[in-house]
Amino acid sequence: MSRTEEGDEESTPDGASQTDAAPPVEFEEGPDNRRGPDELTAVSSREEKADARKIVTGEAKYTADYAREFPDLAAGKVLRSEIAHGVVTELDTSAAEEMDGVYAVITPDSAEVPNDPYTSAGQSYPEPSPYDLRVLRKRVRYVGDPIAAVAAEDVATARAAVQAIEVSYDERDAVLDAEAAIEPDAPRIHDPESVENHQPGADYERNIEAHAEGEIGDVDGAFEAAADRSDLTVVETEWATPHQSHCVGEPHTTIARRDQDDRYHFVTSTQVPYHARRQLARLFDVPIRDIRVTKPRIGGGFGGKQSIVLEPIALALTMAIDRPVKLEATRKEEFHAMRVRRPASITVRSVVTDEGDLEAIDMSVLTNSGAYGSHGLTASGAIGKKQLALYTHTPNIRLEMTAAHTNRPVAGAMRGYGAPQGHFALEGHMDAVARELGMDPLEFRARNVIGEGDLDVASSILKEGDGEIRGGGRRIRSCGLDECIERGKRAIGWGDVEQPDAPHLHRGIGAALTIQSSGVPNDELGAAHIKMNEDGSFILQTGAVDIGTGADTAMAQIAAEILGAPPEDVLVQPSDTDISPFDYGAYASSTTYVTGTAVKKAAQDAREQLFDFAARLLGEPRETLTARDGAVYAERSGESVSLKEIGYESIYGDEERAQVMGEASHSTPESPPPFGAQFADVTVDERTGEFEVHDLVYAIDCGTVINPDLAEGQVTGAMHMSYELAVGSGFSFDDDGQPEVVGFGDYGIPKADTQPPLTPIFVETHEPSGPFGAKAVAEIPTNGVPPALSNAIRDAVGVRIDDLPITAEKIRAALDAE
Amino acid sequence: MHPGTFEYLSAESVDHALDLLADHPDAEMLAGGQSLLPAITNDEADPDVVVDIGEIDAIRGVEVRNDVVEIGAATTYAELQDAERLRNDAAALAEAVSVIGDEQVRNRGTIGGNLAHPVRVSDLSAAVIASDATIVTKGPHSERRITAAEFFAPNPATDLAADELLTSVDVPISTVNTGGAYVKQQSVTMRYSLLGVAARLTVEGGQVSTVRVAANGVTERGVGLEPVEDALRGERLGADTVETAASRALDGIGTEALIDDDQASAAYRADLLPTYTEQALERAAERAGVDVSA
Amino acid sequence: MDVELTLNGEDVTLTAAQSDTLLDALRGAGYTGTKRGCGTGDCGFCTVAVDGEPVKSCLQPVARVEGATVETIENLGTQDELHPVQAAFVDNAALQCGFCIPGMIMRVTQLLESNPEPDEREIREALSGNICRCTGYEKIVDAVQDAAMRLSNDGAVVSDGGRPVSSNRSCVGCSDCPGGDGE
Repeated sequence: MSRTEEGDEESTPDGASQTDAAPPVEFEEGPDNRRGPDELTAVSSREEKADARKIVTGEAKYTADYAREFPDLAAGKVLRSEIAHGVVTELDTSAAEEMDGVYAVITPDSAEVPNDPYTSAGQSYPEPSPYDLRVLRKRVRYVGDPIAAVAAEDVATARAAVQAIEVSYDERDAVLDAEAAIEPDAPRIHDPESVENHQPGADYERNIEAHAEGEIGDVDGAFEAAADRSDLTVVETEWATPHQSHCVGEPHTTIARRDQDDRYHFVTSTQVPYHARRQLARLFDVPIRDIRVTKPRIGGGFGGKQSIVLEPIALALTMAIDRPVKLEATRKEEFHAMRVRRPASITVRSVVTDEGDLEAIDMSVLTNSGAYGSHGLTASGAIGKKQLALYTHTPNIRLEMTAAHTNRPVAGAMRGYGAPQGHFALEGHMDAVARELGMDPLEFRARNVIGEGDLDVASSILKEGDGEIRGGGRRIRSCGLDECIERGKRAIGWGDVEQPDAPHLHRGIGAALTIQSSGVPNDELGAAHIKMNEDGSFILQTGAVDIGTGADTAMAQIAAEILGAPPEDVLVQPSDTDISPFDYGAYASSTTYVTGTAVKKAAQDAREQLFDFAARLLGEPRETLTARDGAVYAERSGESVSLKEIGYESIYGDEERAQVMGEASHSTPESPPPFGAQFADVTVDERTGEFEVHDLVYAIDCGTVINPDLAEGQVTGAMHMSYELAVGSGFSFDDDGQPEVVGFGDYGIPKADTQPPLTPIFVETHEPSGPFGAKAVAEIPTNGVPPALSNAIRDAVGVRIDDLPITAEKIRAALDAE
Repeated sequence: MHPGTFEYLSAESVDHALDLLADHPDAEMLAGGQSLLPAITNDEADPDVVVDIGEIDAIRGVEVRNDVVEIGAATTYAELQDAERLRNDAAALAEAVSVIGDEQVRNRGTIGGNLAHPVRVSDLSAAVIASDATIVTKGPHSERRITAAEFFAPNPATDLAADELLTSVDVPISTVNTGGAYVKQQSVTMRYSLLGVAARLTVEGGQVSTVRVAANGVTERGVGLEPVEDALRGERLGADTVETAASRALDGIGTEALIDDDQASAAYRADLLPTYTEQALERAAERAGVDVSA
Repeated sequence: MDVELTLNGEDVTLTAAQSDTLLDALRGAGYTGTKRGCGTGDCGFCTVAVDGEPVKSCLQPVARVEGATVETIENLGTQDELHPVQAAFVDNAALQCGFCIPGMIMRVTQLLESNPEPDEREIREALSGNICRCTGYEKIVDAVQDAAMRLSNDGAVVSDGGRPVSSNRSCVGCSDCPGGDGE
């Protein structure tokens, strides 16, 4: 049994292994959750982002900006493998050690460097990802694998010392593609004896990190029936997606030091302070309490900083020299040695009736994990199960996934978490099926797609056993997909395309439906603490990790809505494991939905205490009190007492003194999906294959929008990333596994002048299980552009591009092949 | 000094720079820094000595002498963009300069740095060939004047010797009825040139009297397209002649010389070249006062 | 080596290594508003003004700024009194993680000095050397248009970063308008 499954059972109240009844449509909503638009004051408003002013003045401090606070700070640098696969046979550090200004050189043999394996995946405990990674290693498996590290008085010296280390390799054959890696004669990348892997299907003889499958109904039976019947059509398509880099603005940076209490303190750019603390403690055999992780402002994460990559090296260096050490990744290291989105090859087969009803979907996924396993099972599984939920009514569904090791950079978590690869395949496939049937692609979708009140069992397909779905599936209690489609169609001009005059130019429109989740069901914990100051303001502490998204601002709005306080009177403390309540971290689109609910509950707890004071001060029964406009009002008398008065009373009052402090935790088996419809409008030049994207429209149902400014920014930013996956020049390697991308200069990130217009449309629904009706927003818009654009090109010139990135050359080649 | 850092020497004159270069034969030249400093960051260069030639006044600026625009090698792209004579009279070069990098890069990057630094797909390489430019270099013993085509002939290297300094790019001024243009296909997201074509032609009495056409992104360096020129010279400009001439763009370029990389295959580059040659010729003709659009 | 220059209006001496870039020297001297994103001149996070021109300070040898006039983000407004460009970025929510923003704002202030009324195409072209990974650029373009109006319409400029109470400007997708979700 895998660690994941154990984890599931432990955190599921009723025990996950039993076959559960389907969740009911009804949901008992907490108090205050359903407020009309006129009643909401803080929530739904365009509050200024809490850190906006310090950002525009350059005063916001990111990890590297803390360097000056540690006068004896040493600079660290990492020696990384120059070959894709082999063994370091000689490592001569003597010249480096003798250099002026070099404090220490550490190697895999150094006492400070743990020899036990760990996983860089910042996941909850027990981590599903295998322990297969050493802090430093001689057995190298990709270009960029860390071999040794230096601490020196400054970066230039550290860099020079790294260059002075002499390395000899015994080079081995590298395998770069997942397809080749699982062949029996492929070079073996891992020795199963030195790896702890509890994922299902792991087979290191074939470089398989994980393999899983699940089936609903009888898929083979459906295809057999289709072979005999003329009213059933079989459509088969194949898809491929490349590596994608997060391109975080702020490179991974970490400062590690031993503090005056003889504990280890990190200031680090992480999405997962608590997971980092726990994993570092285990790896270095230090009590959890003796590690502190402080998260300053973070310059973007997108999943890239859900990995624990630099921190262990920094800790080993600081242990070696007993000084603070800073490690800051170069941009080249960002591309080669941090984490990437995993490439995928996907086959989709389906059976459909003449009327356009899906009878069966069979999906097969092979992903490239790169050299080490992180998120192999969970992200590869998400490639199928996340978006199959859209077509859960299909009676026969099968999903099979394999994650394979290669000598490429390590795949990790990245915004969308498998869903972008899966949407490209499935939404491209649905377009192909509709074309095959001669149906409008969106009418075809409408016949088959999930809706409000429906039970989604497809997303649980990998939890299937003996024909039953553990947990009983997921009930859809909010779904604005129909309206997303209608409003998106209107905005893009669906069915109303004017063709250009020039005979070689052709215009087309494509669409793709999208879905995601809101957090990991049963596998999250958010906690919040809120205390009142005597001036009526509040300090809100959560473990929510604002990595640039504006989560702190959204949390303040949620608390302010309950407390009746102006949002600017709720000050949010950045995450710090010594100070903040626990949180699983910023990933899986969970912060607003999970931690936001914890914040709401903590604020309700605090409000009860406000009412205690107000009832006494106003001489009114507490049932009649409401908190609004910076005060507590008595309904009957209309009299009020301000929050400031209550603040003073609570701390300096003559009668009862008690600081107003609310707290709450939230964990939930629910993970309601946000929905959306992506549209693309494109003109293709048939002579050259060149194309111009006129508009990208995305209509999204993320429930209640907590802050429209922030939500719009999430949508347009994610669409930008999705567009880059669709058309960016990507990440290429030579035959030896050397990456050909060394920086932004040769990675195709869209800039202001090459980014087509992005139009977000919000279709608000009310999700009863979310705070004030909110669902997740951050990841889902990453899913739609590749399939929508590919479908639009098919609409324009009749050819379908099924491997990303979409390029003019591929379009031209496809036209030539016609 | 720690290894990995470099000694910075500022040259005050061309001769001073040549002396410094003689003293430090392995020194790298820095003019705008837009090529050398990224190379150092990415571990592609690790010089012990850097000679800054960017502040030598004698090789900076644009001057018109007789019928030639003399462009100092350390002239920045931004300065070139501002030079009116260039815009009017050397349109192909001006157009190529305007699509390089971004404003910040154009404020520091120099024409000499671009031509001397071995970048595979340089927009300027085609433009200087089509502009009939002369590259002027100075070595310890002599000055050399090299035609742009010859300069790029030792493909993929250039004709610049290790002890020489590129001092100037001399471009003949166009006369009336001359037009130039530079067009390129760029990557969708970064405007990185996949392929570009520069053209310059003069029309006298309705006929093409002189014509130069060159491409970048086809072979390792900019390459002249003589068969296109031959097909146009002496001809009356029209849609047909332009199309026919453009269709000969690949003649004389061996298939094995075509760039084949992750940006575009050799076959696709070959496919694009006639189309872009036609566009460049059409635009140049229009600027020479002849409308050849079909 | 010591480099003397005018930095944010003051004569200062920066102590630096010969091979340092202006970015190294600025950050070492505590001007940490200028961010390091790549060291290859591609991201634009380190954009500062040198003698009035926007320059990527990671590709500017510090020795070359001897005697020059350099301006960094620290030379604009304060949190209480934002420069109009900064105020426009705040009010248009034209930022997320913020790491690109100081460089972006330095580029924009120079753009609006040389071209006070840029159209959208000119804005997008001008920002092509400044990557943003968070926003998709939509709100940044809005903010630049808004900043242009603030700078050209003195009467409506509010120095505290608040929104102009009354002005005849047309809506550019600012967050004042209820219909703002159409942007």
